[in-house]
Amino acid sequence: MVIRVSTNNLLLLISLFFFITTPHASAQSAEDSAPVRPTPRLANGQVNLGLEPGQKGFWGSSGRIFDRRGRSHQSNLLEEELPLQPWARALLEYRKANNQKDDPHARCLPGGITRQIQTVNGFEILQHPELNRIYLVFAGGPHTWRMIHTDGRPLPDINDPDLIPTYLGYSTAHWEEDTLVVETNGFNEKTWFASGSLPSTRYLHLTERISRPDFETLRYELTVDDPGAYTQTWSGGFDVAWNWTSWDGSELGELHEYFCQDNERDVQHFLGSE
Amino acid sequence: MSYRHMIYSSSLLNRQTLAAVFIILLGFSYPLFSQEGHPLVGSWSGDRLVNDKNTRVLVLLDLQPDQEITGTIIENGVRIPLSDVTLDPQDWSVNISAVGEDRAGNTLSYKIQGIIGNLGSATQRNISGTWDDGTDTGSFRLQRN
Repeated sequence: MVIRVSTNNLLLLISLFFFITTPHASAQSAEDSAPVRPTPRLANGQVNLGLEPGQKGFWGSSGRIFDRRGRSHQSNLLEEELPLQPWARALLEYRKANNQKDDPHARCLPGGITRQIQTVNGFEILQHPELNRIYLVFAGGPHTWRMIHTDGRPLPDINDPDLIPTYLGYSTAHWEEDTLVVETNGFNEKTWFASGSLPSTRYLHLTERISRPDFETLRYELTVDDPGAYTQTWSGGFDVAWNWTSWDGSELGELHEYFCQDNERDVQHFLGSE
Repeated sequence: MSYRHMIYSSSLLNRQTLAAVFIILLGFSYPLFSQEGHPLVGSWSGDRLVNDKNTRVLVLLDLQPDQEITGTIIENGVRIPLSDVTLDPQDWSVNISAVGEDRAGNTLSYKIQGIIGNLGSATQRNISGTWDDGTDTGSFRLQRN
C-alpha cells in the first residue's frame, strides 16, 4: 500500500507531534488549572493583543474558519455548507483530491492573512498606537509581517488601475469597544487566504474581528465577502492559544527563527492524484 | 536625448518590435497577476494554428462579480473582444467566442473549445483545444503567463 502525504501535511503532523510531546503540553496543563489571567491593556486603555513588558510567550495553536474541531468555533459552517460558487467548489475538491500539492504556502510564498495566523510556528502582535499601526509578525512560511493601519484611512478601490494587488492586501482597522475590527482588500490572488484550500478572487474583502477575552485567548472571527468565489457572505472563527514556551518546548518563550526557503527540497516530491 | 527619442530612433526597434514589446508589457499589467483565483482569469499566451501556420495570440480574461467572464484576444496586433466565455467545472472545459475585425477591417469570428490542463498549477496551467469559424478549424493552445 502506498500512502501519499504531501510534505505540507507531513510538516503539520511533525509539528503536532512536537507540540504534544514537548514540555509545553504539561506547562499548558498547569496553566489550565491556574486562575484565568485578565485581559491585559495598554496605558491608553486599549486591549493589549500582544506581549506585556517583561512577559514571554506568543500566539500559537489555532483552528479553522470552517469546521468545528479543536479551537474552531462551534458556530462555524461545515465544509459542505460553505456557499461556494460552482467553479470554486470544484476547485476546492480538486485541491483536496491532490493533497494540496499546489499550495503556494508550501512553495514558501506568503500564506494569506488568516492562513498566517493558522500557521503552527506562531506569531506576535505589536501595537503601536503612537504610530497608528499594528504589526503582525509571523514565524512560519517566508517570515512574513503584516501592517494594519489604524489612522482611519479608507480601503483602496480594487478597480483603481493604479492599485497594486498584494498577497496580504491593504488593511485598515478601528476599535469597537474591546474588539479590533480589521478590513482588508486588494488581494493579488497569488495565495490561499486561509487553511483548508479555500478559493478566492480579487473581489475578496475580509473583515476580521480580533479580541482577547482573557490573557491566554485570542478570539479570531472572520467574515468573507467575495462574490467571485462565494454566493454570499459568510463567517467563521477560532480561538488562538497563548504559547508560554518556544516552539521546541524550551522555556525561552519566543518565536524561533525559521525560513521556509532554507534547504527547501520538498516541492518536487509532492504527489497528487494526477 | 530623451528616452522616447532613443526608442524611436533605434534601428533595432521597428514598429513590429514595439508592438511585441507592448503586448509583452500588457501581459504584465493588472489583472494579470491572477494565478490562484478563478482558473480562467489572467493572462494567457499561445498559438492559433491557421493554414498550417501558428499565429501568436495573447488572451486576457477577467471575472466579473456576477460570474460573467470577459476578455480580449490580441492577434496580429488587433484586439478582438471575447464573449460567451464559459467554464464547466465538471470537466474544466472552456468555450469562448471571438468576434471582431482583422487589420483590413474584415470580420473575424471564431469559436474556441478547449480543456484546462494542470489546473492546480499557477505556472503550468494551460488550455488545449481547437478553434472553428464555420469553414476552417485548427488547434488552439494557451499557456498561463
